[in-house]
Amino acid sequence: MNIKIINQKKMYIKLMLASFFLALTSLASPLISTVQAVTFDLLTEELPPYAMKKSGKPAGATVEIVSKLFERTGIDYKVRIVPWKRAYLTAEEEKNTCIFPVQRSQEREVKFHWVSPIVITQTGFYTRDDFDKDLRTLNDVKALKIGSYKGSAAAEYLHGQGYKTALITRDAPNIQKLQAGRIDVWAADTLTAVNMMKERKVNNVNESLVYFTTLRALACNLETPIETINKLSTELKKMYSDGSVKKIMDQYK
Amino acid sequence: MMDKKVVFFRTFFPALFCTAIVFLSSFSPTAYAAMKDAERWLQSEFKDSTLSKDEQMKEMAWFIEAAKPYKGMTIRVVSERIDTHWYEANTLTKAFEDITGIKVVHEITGEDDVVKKISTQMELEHNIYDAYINDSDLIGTHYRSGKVVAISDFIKEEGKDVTLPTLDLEDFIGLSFTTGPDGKLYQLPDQQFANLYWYRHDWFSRADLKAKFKKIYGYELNVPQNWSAYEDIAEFFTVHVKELDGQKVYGHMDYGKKDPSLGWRFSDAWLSMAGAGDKGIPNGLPVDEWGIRVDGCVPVGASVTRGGALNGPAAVYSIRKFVEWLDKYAPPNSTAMNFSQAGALPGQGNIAQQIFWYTAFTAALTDPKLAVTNSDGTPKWRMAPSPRGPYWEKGMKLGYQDAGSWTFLTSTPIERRKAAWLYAQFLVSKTVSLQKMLVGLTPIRNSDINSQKMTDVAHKYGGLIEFYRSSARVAWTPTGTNVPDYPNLADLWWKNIALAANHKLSPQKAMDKMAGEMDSRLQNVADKGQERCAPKLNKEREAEYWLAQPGAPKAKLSSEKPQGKTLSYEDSLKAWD
Repeated sequence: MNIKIINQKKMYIKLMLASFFLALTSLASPLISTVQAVTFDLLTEELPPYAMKKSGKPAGATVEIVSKLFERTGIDYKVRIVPWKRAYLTAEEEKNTCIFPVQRSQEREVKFHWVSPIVITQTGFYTRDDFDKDLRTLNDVKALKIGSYKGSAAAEYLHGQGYKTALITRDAPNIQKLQAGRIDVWAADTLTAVNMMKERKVNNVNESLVYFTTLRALACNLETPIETINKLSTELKKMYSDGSVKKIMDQYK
Repeated sequence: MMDKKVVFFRTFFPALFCTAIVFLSSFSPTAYAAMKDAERWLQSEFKDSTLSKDEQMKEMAWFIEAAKPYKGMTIRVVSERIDTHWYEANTLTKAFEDITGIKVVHEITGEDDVVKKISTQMELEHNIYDAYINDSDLIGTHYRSGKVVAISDFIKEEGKDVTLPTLDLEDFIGLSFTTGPDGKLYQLPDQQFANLYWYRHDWFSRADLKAKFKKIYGYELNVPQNWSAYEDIAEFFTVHVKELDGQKVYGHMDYGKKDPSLGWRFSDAWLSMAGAGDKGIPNGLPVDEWGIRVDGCVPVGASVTRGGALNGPAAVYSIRKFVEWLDKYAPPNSTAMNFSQAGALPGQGNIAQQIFWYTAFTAALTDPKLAVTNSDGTPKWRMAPSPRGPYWEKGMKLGYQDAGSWTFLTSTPIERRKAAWLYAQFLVSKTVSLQKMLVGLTPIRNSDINSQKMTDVAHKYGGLIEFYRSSARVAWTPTGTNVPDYPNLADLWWKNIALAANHKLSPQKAMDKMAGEMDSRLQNVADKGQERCAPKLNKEREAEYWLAQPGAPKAKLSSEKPQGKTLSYEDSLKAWD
């Protein structure tokens, strides 16, 4: 085979390839532009170990679950950690925005489209080593001084049942309050409590009663197409059945 | 003649003593301690029971023995937020743990959250709770899902060793609500309450008001038997009486805010009160009170054009009356209220009657501090069977009954399910159930309803016991098996009725929209697939065809306001015999 023929063949192949890629690009461009146009803004608050900044980037159990979900669904996203109120209002008002992890309630139901549950959490009562009462039911804490923090699910639930709680703006100081005897019982998320105590090397506080389970969801702006919500919901179910959610959660326990 | 005590002592004491020794010595030290705990609970908490003390002790001995393999286990269950469940969560869990050694965390939350949780567990097949107390309205969902344990199978098979010999299923009043079309029992009622007519018996008994009413309307002011009389009484108090004892009074109370709680107002059998469905107890067949038609067990549509009745003349009439009465006769702002806000109003003392009132509020409305309660704690009000709309016919269900029922999922590991089944049975056992009824007023057993104890206390509860003892009771039933996926269909009620309540759409247009959406959702359920009896929609055809067929959907009546009819309270109950 002479070189001329070989070069002609090479040229022909190059031309074929070029036109093939051109065709492919033109076919794919609407798809690419659609995907690029819809980048979901996923908002959460600082709530270790569910969401926190690690080396300046969002990290944590629910950040990992939500990121994995969007990656598996092929939808562009960006996670941002902002104050909860701002996150909530933004998700309510701006399209292509979601907030997580949110507890579903009748009042909130109408305001968002829901992908649920991103995570299943529990709240419990924590007491000091020398606490001498047996906490067996919710009623057993009624006469006690319960500490929690403003806006927490633990506090919200207890208020809803008519319990009085001593609330502060951050949860961590409740450990000191408990140790100092300024509160009898600390009502907290079980995962957060374990993490806080581990970090602070607290070993004289125990879990007394895990009293409530909460499903926490990804709540998306109402203009989010229902097809997107269905796609995310289907993929989330797969993440539970193939063990992906458990694998992520186990790292934080 | 010897003293009776001496005779007793000489004759029976040695025998009793020997029996007790044999009984107690047959237990290990831990079982003996558990029996002592059981005895302590019987003496302190379960004094009122239809069982004798001996029978109660035998029942407890069975629990101790059956629970042995599960001792030390902690199980988790969830139920809605009513007094009965608070009593279970705070008191009965302790009794059960002391007696069996099984710890139970009984969580309390809103029914919407219970439904979300059970749906999530069914969807993910991931064990969140070991058992649910879930409204029997989901029976159609549970039966079709293939993910709910059939209790009637369980108690004969893997649950046989943990099924209470004295459970006495025939004694339960609500088993027809929790039985699937295949005849299997899928749920076991834990508490029940009805939705009845509520009125101020003291006002209705006043001679001046009776005379005034008769003069205007030509018949007695009494318990309304039909919607015409309800409407007349509503108008009478709001428009003609206006004020009583110096305060403004209203002849009707309701709510209309766009809120999920508006849905219950309708899904809880409002359409059947007007007479929209077919005959059939516990639910109309082939068309039920959601307007859904079934062919066998297969839902075939809700629109009239598919043979359903959701946008038929009776359904539209029921919505039109709801809106009209809310606008004309209820206190101002009722349209902007939700269920909780509206629920507080009858207790304030200026509402004469309410057509849709849950008996779960009985205890709350007997608070002596309220304007509707006498100083001795007896109520000034009464509850009675609800009035019937013009489309209603004998043989149809009338009102709603809630039956919070034990529900077990196949995704719960068998040992945990067995331990939870023990707790469930403890809560409905005859040892416990009468005391539980006295606390929460949510009866589940015939034996409790007909007990001497309930006769003794009936006067305190405004007609609750009388209703449950009457023949009327059977016409008050939960949502039935025609509804194939309650959680995925229920939101259509509040989203669409709110449009009519707030005058954004006419009742006809709102119901046309809802019926269309219900059909689409039924199709979605079919597309997603169900284990059995999944929907298969009828082809659409002209409405006239279906309206001309016997039964529902029923053609429009020439007059939807027949003569008003009332009866005395006593006769209103006898009317159902």
